[in-house]
Amino acid sequence: MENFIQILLYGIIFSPVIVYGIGFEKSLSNSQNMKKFYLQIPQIILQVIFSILILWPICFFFLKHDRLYILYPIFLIFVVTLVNRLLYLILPWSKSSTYSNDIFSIGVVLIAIHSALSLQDALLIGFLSCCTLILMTFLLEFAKKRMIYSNIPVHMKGTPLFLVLMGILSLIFLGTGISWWIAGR
Amino acid sequence: MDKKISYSGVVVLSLCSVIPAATRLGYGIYLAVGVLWIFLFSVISRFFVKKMRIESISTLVESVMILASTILFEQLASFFMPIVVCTLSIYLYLEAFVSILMMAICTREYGVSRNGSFAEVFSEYFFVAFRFAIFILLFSFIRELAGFGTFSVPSSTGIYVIQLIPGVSASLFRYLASTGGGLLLAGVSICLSRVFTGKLASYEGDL
Repeated sequence: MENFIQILLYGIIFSPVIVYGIGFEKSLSNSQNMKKFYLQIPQIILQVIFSILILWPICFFFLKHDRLYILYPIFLIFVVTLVNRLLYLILPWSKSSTYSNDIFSIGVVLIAIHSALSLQDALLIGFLSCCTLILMTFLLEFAKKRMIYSNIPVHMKGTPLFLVLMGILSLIFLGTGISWWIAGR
Repeated sequence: MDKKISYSGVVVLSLCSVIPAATRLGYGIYLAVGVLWIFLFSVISRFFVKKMRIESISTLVESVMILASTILFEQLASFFMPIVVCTLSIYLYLEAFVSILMMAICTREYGVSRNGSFAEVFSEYFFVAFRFAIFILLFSFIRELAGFGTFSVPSSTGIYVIQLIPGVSASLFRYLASTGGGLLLAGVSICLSRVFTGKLASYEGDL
């Protein structure tokens, strides 16, 4: 159980969402319409998982030659778009491909396969990235509700304050990563 | 275009690639040139689809052509700045995906026509791309100056750095060069743009 919590904590803190910033714009736009986001959650998770499952053997059996590996992004977009279309057939309540879903899935799958050493690692990175996106969206939604009753300067309302909040959240999430700096001082 | 994509819209679209990547002006120069290259091929791919009359699969064909042009740009740039290309490999592909999103938004929301002449469509899209490139350059310059106190340009051996303000990199301002600091600077920049232009976007969405 302790190992599970550690994996969950570090997987979320060092996920591509926090480290590379993939999905920030998605969590910002999704936090403004949470009902639509709740319906998209299964689609986002399944799109990432299935894309990794399909792309992993392609990358490591067909594209393993150095010169062919540069074609990986083209295979990536084919697979992610195809998975998105198939999920639209299976999940009737999900909307057809929204570009932000695709960009998030493409970014996460790109990094998951690029940096993972095994299929299990890639699936874990992908799944925890989706969990981080959901967490960030919920945090921004809670912040939005707090902002309604706060006296905020008019020029800071909306996107500017959300971006500052995301910057501070990013600092909090990466706190364990800089703990060596604090300990050293 | 009937409406123009707002400054805050440009910033939000840059969140997935520019803010994590453009920590130095040297990286920002590579990304800005990449954005202009990708947008040029975005327009070319749109006209290819129109001439071939394959509008039913236009999104897929445009996306593949844009990605292919990104791969070509990466290979060409690796002759001149191989270390920068290696460092920012992932972010250039994310830029390509952002350009796909930007084209869709420009077409659907801002009235950019799919049916105009090459010159008309090129000038409309390129205006958006040019603003985006200028934003990348200015943002990365300010971020590097505030976070490291330096000025950098890409070179064949990496990044050539010139120290302008000594002592900044050892202070707490170094946070501004991280992803979180970039988000903070982006938020402050939108606030300042609203103050100076006098334009306020609606609370519910600036894009």
